[in-house]
Amino acid sequence: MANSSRDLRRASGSLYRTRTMTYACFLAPALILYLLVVIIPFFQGIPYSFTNWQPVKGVKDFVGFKNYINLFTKGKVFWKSVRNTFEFTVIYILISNAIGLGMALLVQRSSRLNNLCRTLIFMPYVLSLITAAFVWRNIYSSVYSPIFGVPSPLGTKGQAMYGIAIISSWRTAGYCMLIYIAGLQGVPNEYYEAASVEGANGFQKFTKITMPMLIPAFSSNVSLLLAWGLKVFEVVRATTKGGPTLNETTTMSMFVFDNIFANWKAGYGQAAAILMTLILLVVSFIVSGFFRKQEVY
Amino acid sequence: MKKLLTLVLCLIMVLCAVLATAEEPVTITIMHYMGNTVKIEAFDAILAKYQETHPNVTFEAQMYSQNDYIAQLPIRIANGDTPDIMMGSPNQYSDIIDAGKIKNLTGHELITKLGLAEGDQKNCQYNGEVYALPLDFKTYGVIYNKAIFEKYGLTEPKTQGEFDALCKVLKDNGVDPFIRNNSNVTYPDIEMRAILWPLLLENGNADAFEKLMNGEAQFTDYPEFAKAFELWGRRLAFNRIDDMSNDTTMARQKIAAGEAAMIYDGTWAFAQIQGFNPEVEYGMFVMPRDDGKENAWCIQLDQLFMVSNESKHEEAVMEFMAYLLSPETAGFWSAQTLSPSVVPGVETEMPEVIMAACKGKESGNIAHEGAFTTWLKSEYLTAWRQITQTFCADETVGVEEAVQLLQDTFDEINASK
Repeated sequence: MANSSRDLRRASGSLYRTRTMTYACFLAPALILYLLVVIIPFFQGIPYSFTNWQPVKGVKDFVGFKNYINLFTKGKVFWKSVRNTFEFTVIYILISNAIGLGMALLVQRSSRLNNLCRTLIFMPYVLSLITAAFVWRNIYSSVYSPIFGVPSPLGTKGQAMYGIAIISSWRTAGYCMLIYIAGLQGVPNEYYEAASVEGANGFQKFTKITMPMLIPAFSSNVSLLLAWGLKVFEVVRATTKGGPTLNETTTMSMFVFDNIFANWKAGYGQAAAILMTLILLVVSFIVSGFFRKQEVY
Repeated sequence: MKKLLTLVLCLIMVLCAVLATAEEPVTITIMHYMGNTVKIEAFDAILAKYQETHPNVTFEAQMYSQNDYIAQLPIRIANGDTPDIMMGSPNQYSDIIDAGKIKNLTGHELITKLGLAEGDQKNCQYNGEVYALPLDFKTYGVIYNKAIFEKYGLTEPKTQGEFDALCKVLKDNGVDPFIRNNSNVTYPDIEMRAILWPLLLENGNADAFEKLMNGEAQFTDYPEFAKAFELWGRRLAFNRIDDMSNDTTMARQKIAAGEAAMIYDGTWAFAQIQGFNPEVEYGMFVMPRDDGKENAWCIQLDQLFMVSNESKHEEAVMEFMAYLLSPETAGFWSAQTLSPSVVPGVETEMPEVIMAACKGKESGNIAHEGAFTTWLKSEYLTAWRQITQTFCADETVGVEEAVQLLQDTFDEINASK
């Protein structure tokens, strides 16, 4: 008896090791790539943030924490860019999820028309952000502006960030919709039937059943959009380039890019990049941790 | 046997001769920011024509917008991939010159042959040495639709008062005085220069930009900035809802379609504007001032080419530059792009707008970039452009606020160094 139990444990241990090895083999290519193009360059970049590196001139003297001190004490533009990035991210997440969820609720049932609608809503996602930005820049100036008799939001103080967030949301709402549809299809019908028997109305079913069951979908959408939003670069670059008023739409990525490449202050820009990564990590951990706690199993 | 040997030897000699005369394949890399299709097509045609006579030469020409170019050029240079030919004014790229990446052309036959005027010469220099070869010059001013002016009995204004009255007549008749493309940060910048550059030079402040960048002077030390903002603000009062959303091409299409009477643009734009509607006749005048003096034309060399110090085939590059600066090629360029040439011997019939600019330069009443010890560069130029754009986009930013904003931003840039 004891022997057979030991054999079983040994066999199960061996199976576990084989499975782990198989999983590791599947993960290895992606992990190696991630290590090579993200992790190693990130750590390689840290020493540069302690220098006054100017690649063109070949200057690279150690300056200690000067770049970080300057960012914290005199870096008004950097902190403005942090604020702008968060402002963009919040608007972007809200609009994308609201539209994505709304669309998912409308087209969740499988039918020919719904399938066509899903395809149409998802279509902008296959466009690059740069293309979307150029398309929308023209929509704002040649369609929206003449129809409503108002200036384009991209050129109006206080509206530019909303204009940019709408462009990004238009592109990603379809993606969010797909995640929500998958979430909605995973909610057992019995729950709704039981709620109907109990006399619950549509709103109650939505808030008490649908929403809690969609938390994993929320979690997935918010985490992804948070990461995309905090790194926003190309859509701003293609539309306002930080304008229309001074640094109104400058984001963290743009600040880093401008300092490293356009202003030729690579050390200073690198310090900003390190801070940006840390901010991104902390915020992502907090937000994904929050949603994990809300998930219903 | 002897015959065979002789034949083989002869064959070898012929082969050696052929191999010796056949030129090695050469790829010349060029980076530029010729921002419109007319220029790009003309430049491509020049490259193609050169290749007809130099089949061993191929070109890799990369075009960027001017604002992207400022960022991309240093990246390539830092990566050890310096293009053979780079467009740009030496003062703007002094860091690259300091790093020894640009060929010093002082005393080179190509530059001496051009016999440039003093301002043009200085525009090719950095620290008194020549680092660039020019093809043409540019100026900016008010390009206007002659038919609209004639319809309302308007003539080219000589004073700010006349200019204000002209704008009012147009507005009262339901005609928009201006089309603008202030979404492109370059345009608020050049419209500010119209008043600023002449005033600074007249008042002996040729080193103003150098001192402002060094932190040796404050913007309030130069009342010319406030005056330029004030006069520009008066013009901006005649606005349209698309001022901040038109891109450069859109604005030019709209002026060509007769949507407004005037556009503030440069000589470089004229070929494109005319191309959109060749039937419209245009005139050009320099922006007037409010002090009774005739304003000067702002002049800069336009197509300025720097040559890499690290080029693997310098001889081929300089041979191409000689071709580019020959009267025939420069003439072709001017005829196609309507750009006023600086190459002697180029005689191209130019439209009235360009002739007005040429006469302006010949008159000597000019504010030349080369007359300043330096113009703004790198992040100072970016900040300057962003703040001039802010002045257009934000009505709450007045003259004093704009000047203060400039000072605060320059202070922050200096503090981050």
